[in-house]
Order: sequence, then C-alpha cells, then structure tokens
Amino acid sequence: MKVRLDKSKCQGHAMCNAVAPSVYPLDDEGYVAIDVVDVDDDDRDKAKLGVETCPERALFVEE
Amino acid sequence: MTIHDDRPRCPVVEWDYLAGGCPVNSGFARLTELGTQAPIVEVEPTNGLPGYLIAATGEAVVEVFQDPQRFSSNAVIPIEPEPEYLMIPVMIDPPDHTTWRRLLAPHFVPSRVQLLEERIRGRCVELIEGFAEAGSVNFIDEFAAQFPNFVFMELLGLPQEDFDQFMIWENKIMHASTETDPDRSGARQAMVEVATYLGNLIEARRADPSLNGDDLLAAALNWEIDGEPVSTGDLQNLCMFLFIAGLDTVAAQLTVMFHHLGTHPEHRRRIVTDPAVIPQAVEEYLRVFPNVATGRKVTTDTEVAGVPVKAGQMILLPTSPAGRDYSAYPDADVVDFDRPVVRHASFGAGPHRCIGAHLARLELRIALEEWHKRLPEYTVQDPDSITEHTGGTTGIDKLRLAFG
Repeated sequence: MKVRLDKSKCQGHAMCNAVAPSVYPLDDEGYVAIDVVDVDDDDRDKAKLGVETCPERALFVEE
Repeated sequence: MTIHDDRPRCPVVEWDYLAGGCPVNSGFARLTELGTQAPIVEVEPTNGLPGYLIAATGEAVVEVFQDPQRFSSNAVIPIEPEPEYLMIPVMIDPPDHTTWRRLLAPHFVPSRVQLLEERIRGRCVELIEGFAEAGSVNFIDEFAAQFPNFVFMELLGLPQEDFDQFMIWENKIMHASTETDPDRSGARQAMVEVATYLGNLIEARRADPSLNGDDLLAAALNWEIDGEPVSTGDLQNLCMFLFIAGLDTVAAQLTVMFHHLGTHPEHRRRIVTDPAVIPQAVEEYLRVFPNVATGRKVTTDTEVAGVPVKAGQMILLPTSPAGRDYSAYPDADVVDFDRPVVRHASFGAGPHRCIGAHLARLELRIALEEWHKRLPEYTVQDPDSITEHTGGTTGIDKLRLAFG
C-alpha cells in the first residue's frame, strides 16, 4: 500500500504522526515530511487510521 | 421578468451570538439543528448588531477554513466586521501569514512542546495538591484558569512573580459580566495594562539580552521579516493574541472534560484504571465538546457547500459541526473513548489551524493524568444548576467538584 500526501493541504495537525509516527515523520515546522510513502504490511492499519483522522483530508491511499 | 434560480437559498434563523445562562452543552444541539436546515444559514441584523452567516455543517466549516483567498481572516468576530485591532497572526492572510507561521511553527511542533512537559506537570501537581485536602474546589478559579496561565508565562519566559497580576488581568478580560463590568471598561483597561506590560518587557529584553532565556519571546526578538526586525508593536500584538488564544480555550476544555467525568462515573473509572486511554479520551473530548467559534469575511461572491454568499458578508465558523458530524458518527454527541477513528476540526483547519494545538493537548493530558492519580473519586456539586456562556469561546460558568 502507498499513501500520498497533498502537501498544499497539510497544515501540521500531526494526527497521522500521533497514530503512525514511523509512517508519517514531521519536518522542523511540524508538517508531514513525505510525498509518497510505501507502507509495510505491519503498518497498514495504523497508516490507514492516519489517513482517516486527517482534518484536512490531505492523505490518500494509493493501492 | 423572473429569473429562475434553483440554487439552495439561505434560511434565516434566530441566533444570539452571545447567548448566556444556557443549560450546559446545549449550544451543540442548537448548532446541529441549524445544520439540518442548510449548510449556511443567515442571521439578520438585530439590536444594533450586524447580520452574518453561520456555517452549520462540518463540510461548510472546513471549506471556509481551507480557502483564505475567498474567506479572509482580516475580521474574525462575526459581529465586528470592521475591526480596528490586529491579532497576529490570525488576522493576517497569506502570503504574509505564511511568513509569520514559518517563524512560529518550530516553537509549537510536538517535539518542541514536549520539552515543556516536566515544568507543566510540576505546576499541575502543585495546583492539585494545593486544594486536594480541602474536600471540594472551585474548579475554574482554582485550577482551570490558573494552569494555562502558567503555561503561557512559561512559553514567553515571563517572570512567575507576575503570575497573580496576570490572573487578575485574565479575570477582568475573560470573565467580565454585566454585574461586575457593565460597560466593559474594566476589561478594556486590563487589555491596555497587559499590552503595556508586554511592550515594556519587550523593550527591556531588547536592551539587555541577558534577560532572555530559551523562550519564544527571546527567539522572536531576533526574527526578521523582509530584512527588518519585527517591531515591538507587532510582537506586542502577537503576545496579546497568544494570551487570549491559549487561556480561556484550555480553561473551557478542562472544565467541560471534568464536568463530564464528574457526572459520568463509568468514564471517570476508565481514566483512573486505564490511564493509557487518556490521549484518546482527550481527542474524543475535543471532538464532542469543542469550545471555539471564529469567523471569516467573504472576499468575493461565491458559494459555500453550494449555497451562494456575497462579498463582505461575515461567516460565523463554529468548530463543533466538523467533529459532531452525524453522517460519520450516528451517535456523534456520545463520548466514547474507544472510537476507532476520531476526526474533528476543533483546532480549526486550513492555514490558520490552531498553532497551539499540540501544547493544548499536552496540558489536557497532563491534567487528566495528575488529577486522577490524586483525586480518583469526585462529583459535580449541584449538577442541575450548571450553565454555559457562548460567543467566541463556549464555556461553563461555574463548576464546583467535591471529593471529600
């Protein structure tokens, strides 16, 4: 599974980072520091939860 | 000639922006009801107050938050469409806002606010132990208002010997009532005194850098915007905004959480026996009981969630419809610490989303942790008398908890 970030929408809520810190690392200003991330099978559920909790709808699952 | 227009129209509703003395948590249901009428509803001018729109569904609220080009924050209080004040950075639109935000952001990221945890926790424990033997506590005056005041002062590196003075100012500004301050001159005077205090402090710390510690204000004194140091006036406005934004909101959230726990023993016991659930509990309380309503001004004739709006109109943006979204949560008004997904916009959305969100979460988590270690059993005194005020921040008026 891949997750893509729409950087223009990310506002640093860091809800995704709170549930899946290894999938969604933050940069120095608190925004998610990925463009597209390959998610390990072990992290799938956490990564999806990060997508679903984003208040901006900035993260997208790409199979 | 009749032009047929089948776009959704705005229903006109009755709404009192500053409704007070309402039953506790009743404002949420009133907003939910508005959202069943239309995503955007209209309040007509009344009693000398200007009219405005209300975004009443989560979709409408988030759409407005996310688009600063169509919805400016040069006015953020719906009944004050032409403000003569400037709160930095919330009332600045991009691209200038982006410059401020980049300077501020590193001071509010989760890893940075974590550095404040030990001192915040220490103060929280001191406050609780100060009244733990008393049998009961006036929760707002003796805890909920004091705790974030300490955090604000720590963040800016303000001397703690001025704590009591800041509490006096805080009370005059935030808790002016018709009885204590009928023309609000006391609140205005306190605002002037805080601004003067901050201005003097900024000048003193500019003149003598040895007064600066490792705090936000010390960093801000070295900031440059467009190659110029940030002026004392702008720093004053920034500090005033942090004072206003970080105190009443956290106090209101603490109060509504402890009111719920004091009236719901099963939730309280869960916090006591399973403290690992506290971060989820904080998030769920933010979803169910958000306290902030802000506003934006429409810059161009456009639509929100399909409803036409006109340039110049103010829109009230309550944050609760986003978290209390009945299409996502059929039981949206129920507090459930075990929800698999907790999604809300209680800290706003878009470029102005609350920069202090991670600090606020830390304060709320620490308060739940330290309180329940010491005072696991408590009840709300006279629970049927609890009322709330509304406006920019919804909050419970008085809350006494008994634990004796």
